[in-house]
Amino acid sequence: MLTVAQARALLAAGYKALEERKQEINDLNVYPVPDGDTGTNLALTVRGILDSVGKLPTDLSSRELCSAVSQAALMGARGNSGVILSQIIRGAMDILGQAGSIDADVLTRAFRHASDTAYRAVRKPVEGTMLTVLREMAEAAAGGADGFDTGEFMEHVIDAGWKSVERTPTLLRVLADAGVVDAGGYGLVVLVEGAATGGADWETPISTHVGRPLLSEAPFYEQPEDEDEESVYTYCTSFLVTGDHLDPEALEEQLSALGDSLLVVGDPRQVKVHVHTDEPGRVLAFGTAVGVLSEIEIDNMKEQTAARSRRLEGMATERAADPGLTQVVAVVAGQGNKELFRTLGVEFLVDGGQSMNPSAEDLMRAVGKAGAPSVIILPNNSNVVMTADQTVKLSDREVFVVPSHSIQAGLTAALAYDRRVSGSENAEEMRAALDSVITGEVTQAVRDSLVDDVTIKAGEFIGLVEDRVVIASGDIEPVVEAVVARLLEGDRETLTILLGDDEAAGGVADVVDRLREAYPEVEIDVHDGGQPYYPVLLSAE
Amino acid sequence: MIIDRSSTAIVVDSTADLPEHLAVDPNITMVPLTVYFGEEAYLDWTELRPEEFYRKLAAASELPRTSQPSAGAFLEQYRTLREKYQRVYSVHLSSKLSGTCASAEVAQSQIDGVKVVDSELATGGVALLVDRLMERIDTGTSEEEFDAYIKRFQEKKTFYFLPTTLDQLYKGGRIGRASHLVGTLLNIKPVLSIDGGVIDVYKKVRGVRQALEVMRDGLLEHTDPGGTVYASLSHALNEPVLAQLRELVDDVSDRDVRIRLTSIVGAVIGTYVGPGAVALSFIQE
Repeated sequence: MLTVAQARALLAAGYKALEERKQEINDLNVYPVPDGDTGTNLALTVRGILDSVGKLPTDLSSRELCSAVSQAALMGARGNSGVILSQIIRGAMDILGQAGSIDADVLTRAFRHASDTAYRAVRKPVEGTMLTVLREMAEAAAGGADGFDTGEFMEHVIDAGWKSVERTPTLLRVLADAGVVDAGGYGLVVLVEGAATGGADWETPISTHVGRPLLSEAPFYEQPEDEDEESVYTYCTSFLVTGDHLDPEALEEQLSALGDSLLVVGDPRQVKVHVHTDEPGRVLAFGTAVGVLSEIEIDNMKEQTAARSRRLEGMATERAADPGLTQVVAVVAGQGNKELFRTLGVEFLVDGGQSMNPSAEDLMRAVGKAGAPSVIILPNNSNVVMTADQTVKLSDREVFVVPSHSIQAGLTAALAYDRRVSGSENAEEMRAALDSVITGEVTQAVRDSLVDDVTIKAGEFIGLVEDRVVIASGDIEPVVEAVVARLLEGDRETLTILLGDDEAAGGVADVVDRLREAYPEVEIDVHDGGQPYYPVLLSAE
Repeated sequence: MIIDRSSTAIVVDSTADLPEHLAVDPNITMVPLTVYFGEEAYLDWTELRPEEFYRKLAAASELPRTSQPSAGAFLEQYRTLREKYQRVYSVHLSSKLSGTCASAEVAQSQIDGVKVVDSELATGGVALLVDRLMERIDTGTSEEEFDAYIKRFQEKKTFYFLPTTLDQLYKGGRIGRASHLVGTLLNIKPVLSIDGGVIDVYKKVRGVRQALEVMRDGLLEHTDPGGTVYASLSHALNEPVLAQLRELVDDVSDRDVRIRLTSIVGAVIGTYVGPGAVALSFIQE
């Protein structure tokens, strides 16, 4: 026999547990839409029930009590998780309200019925959510009632609940990708554990679980992937409709075309609606057509998502990225240069090293790491182009070579890279980009020579434009200026300068200031590339 | 039901950034969004014109916030207009970028004869749609054809813009599919688009002139030699760059391109794309 006082105690304890761990649960929320609300929704839902129960007369019959609790749950339900919780509570109350004494047997039936009720209420039940956790708790209850007293029994069920929560990432891809367990499932067990430990006296006290909600590694999958069910809609819309002869099924039919995450639950006098939609007005109109609306809530989930993202910026979790149709392998020397390529979306970098001469095997290995159907190689050096061509022949994947002759040219090509587009399309765009850029270099001569009609002495700085020597000098500054002058002929509007790790690169800062004054129409973009041997790499477009 | 000046009115919100000749049109009513600088609230365009907004923006220590009109504000206009007109078309910026459409829809559900149109665009793109609709209202057309045109516009329209910063789009949660560009170290000029109502990346280039050429090339790529291309140009107080864009578009020889209007990006959209941004919107008919 469940009394009002007992119900209040259970709910108060459950609510306290949820309230304390609300933020923890909120930060887990990834499915069905990252709006960060589950903890808050569950806590508010239980709070609503608690407040209603607080107003009930203490001598209410068990049946009347359970009916009142179900009603309160329905009315106070917030968000997807709140509505499902209200169904769980309704299902549990259906059994508990009619029971004599509350023992393991009754609890088992209550868990089972709660699970059935919850599954029925959701239009498209998905495994790896609250539903799974509840079902597995119900199964543990059914399988393990023997020999336990009620306290041990609850501990057994709660333990099964936590284990189920830990398994949720193996059932739902988005959870594994985000490195978290299911927020709704987690919240459910927090609630049950809270209620059971704080709200009742068992013969054997239940020990509480100190959960680790965040996983440090994404586990592998045991089941084939389902389609991602992330909502593309903007407004989380919910309300209560009160009327005569309401038809929840008909309403559900009408609303199913307007959005997803649809939950329509209730009876002919009162129906709770929850949906993610872009047309909240139309959804409300369906409601006003059949009854009177109350408890209307319309939240912009995208704003909530942006806020949550900002908050989580500090929490770094490794996310498995979707490889897209094309990925890029680039041969790069210099830490700064590598970062430049990385922020342009190039994921695989082969170290150019001192000689900028990786082997075909080095390139093959990088190509092998890519998950996308097509791979583009940016050799970034004329010596590597042939090796790259060789890799194409050796590899059984679809590989294209975009024949960049320098790191700075490679950057321009990388700018044209779009991972969503096929390898051949990318190759075409990236090769076209190479045509639009002109490159230059400054390096130091290792011996005397006469090249391209320029006399060079060992140790002098030489300036090259498109691989032809244009100047040699003992000072780096005039060399840089001469190269820039050539590069900016023909009305180019951007100049990129990558500084090497050579000491000589330090002398370039003053030149850059003078260049900005000399060419005010040109955007000069300077970066610390960190490459060896070439103090300055330049390009213009 | 004939759609013409006697039967039909158009409602827009202030993010349409309508140029003067459309703003004063008797069949067009504008419902403003609100812009907040700290504690001070201003009705977009009505109380705060672009030039003043960008001045305030330059001096502000904090970014301004914006909020959509209430459903009540729309309903009031709808009621007034419905006394005179049989049809009201309420045309707004993408519902995926703002809650304005949703506000309009809540109002629309309370009254009949009003249709809410999600332009799936913003600023000059909305103005272009309004221009195309007014042409049909001026001539007069059937309701079926009018509605069919709206669908066609939603399917075929294109919108490119060159923001001067990605920060505001990112912080405001509107950056959409361009989020991967945030944090790019190389100094790039991203030519963005609004596709399916959401911001997307069209192409990334190094310089402004390249960016404008990319926009012009996009116009060529997404239209055919036959038919007329109607376009609108917008800028956030950047006449010099707009003039370059206009020249490039005017010089297109193998398309019949008509630049229907030039508009200034107002406070609300300006907050997100930054002063100096330019945009091109077009549709082939």
